[in-house]
Amino acid sequence: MLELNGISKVYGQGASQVEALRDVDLNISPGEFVAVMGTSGCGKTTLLNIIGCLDTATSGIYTLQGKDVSRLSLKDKARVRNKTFGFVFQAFNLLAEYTVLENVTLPLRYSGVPKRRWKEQGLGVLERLGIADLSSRYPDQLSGGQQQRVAIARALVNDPEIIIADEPTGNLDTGTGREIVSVLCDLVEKQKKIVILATHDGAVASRAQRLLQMVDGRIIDDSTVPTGAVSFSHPAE
Amino acid sequence: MAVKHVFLALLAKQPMHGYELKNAFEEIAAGSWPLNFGQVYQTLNRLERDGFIESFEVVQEDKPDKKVYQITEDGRDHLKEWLQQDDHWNLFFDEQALRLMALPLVDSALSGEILKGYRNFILRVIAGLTKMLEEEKDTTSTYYALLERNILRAEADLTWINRMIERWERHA
Ligand SMILES: Nc1ncnc2c1ncn2[C@@H]1O[C@H](COP(=O)(O)OP(=O)(O)OP(=O)(O)O)[C@@H](O)[C@H]1O
Ligand SMILES: [Mg+2]
Repeated sequence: MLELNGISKVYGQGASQVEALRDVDLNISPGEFVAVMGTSGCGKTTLLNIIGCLDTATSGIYTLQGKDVSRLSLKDKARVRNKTFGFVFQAFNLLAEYTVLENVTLPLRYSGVPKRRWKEQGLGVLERLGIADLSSRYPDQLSGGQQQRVAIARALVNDPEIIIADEPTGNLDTGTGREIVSVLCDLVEKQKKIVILATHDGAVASRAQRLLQMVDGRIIDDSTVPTGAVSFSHPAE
Repeated sequence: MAVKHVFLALLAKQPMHGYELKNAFEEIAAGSWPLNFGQVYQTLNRLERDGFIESFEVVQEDKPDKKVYQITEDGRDHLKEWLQQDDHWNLFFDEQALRLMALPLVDSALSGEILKGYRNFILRVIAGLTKMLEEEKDTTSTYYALLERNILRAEADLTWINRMIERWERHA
């Protein structure tokens, strides 16, 4: 589905040059829930942005659905981005002057879906996330958890194959964060989507199937998140 | 670590007999800490010997008489003191601390595996505890609070082990 070969990303020039990604190899298939962990500045967002075609690698080859992304024109790249990816960010990124429904249907405007279908498609996805009753509210009339659900609805409205979530629970309390992760888990399990999620939160990472750990722009560990019960003891033992 | 203080707290609310105490204790721990009768009566005997509780027989019609325990003034003082005491903080609180001491002595590849193995263990702990938390519907229960504390501790440990793995990676 997507394959990174020797991907590097350098920001800036000369002395202020930062190597945000160094020689990253990565392969992700449909139905995978991948969590990316690592300290601040290790390159998680950079990696997600390159995968999501929001940013371009300095070197290396990125193949998405069999196509070499670096050879796409800007216009084709934008089209691929809108069609293939849904994005969820820590800061929700909803537009304050639009209602929930308008926010959610925004991606449809850019992907050539006829206007008469917007409302139906938007309400459908809001329904699935259990927030159809909020459709005419404005973002500042919602809690953080509700805003993040709206953001997920917006990410899903185009029915993308890959959901990129950059610290989606960073601004939420643990309980609400858990619910949001459950929504993402469902997408992987029931619809065989790909979810790629950056997080600092262990409880979030433990729900993924695969864990990448990054240090200084490199993936130093890529392993299956272990399953299997742990036994919990008490002091008398 | 003893159950005696929790027994005192239970008896401070109302007198109970041994079987009731065992049940009440296990209920608070949501079944995650079962007691055997030997432990229960040994604990009660010691509390009584120390003057923190006293017992009396209740005559029952068609069943054998039962022994009921109640807290004394000394017991209340002792309980109050315990509730407000500072804990000891054990610097080497689990096996992992000892493994850490052994780590520089094994070769680098093995220590990387040990660290990642522990990281995987912590992830399973977090997943297990999170599942238990989701099954506990009463968010005001003692058990819920206990699980939350354990999850947050495990997450802190995950942050630590990730840091250890990074450090190992830089020096390997
Ligand atoms: N637009 C940019 N210009 C220059 N440097 C950048 C830019 N974006 C990121 N960087 C640098 O690249 C490195 C990786 O940043 P990135 O945002 O990917 O980290 P991160 O792992 O997402 O961190 P965090 O956990 O704080 O979100 C950092 O050193 C950062 O300062
Ligand atoms: Mg980031």
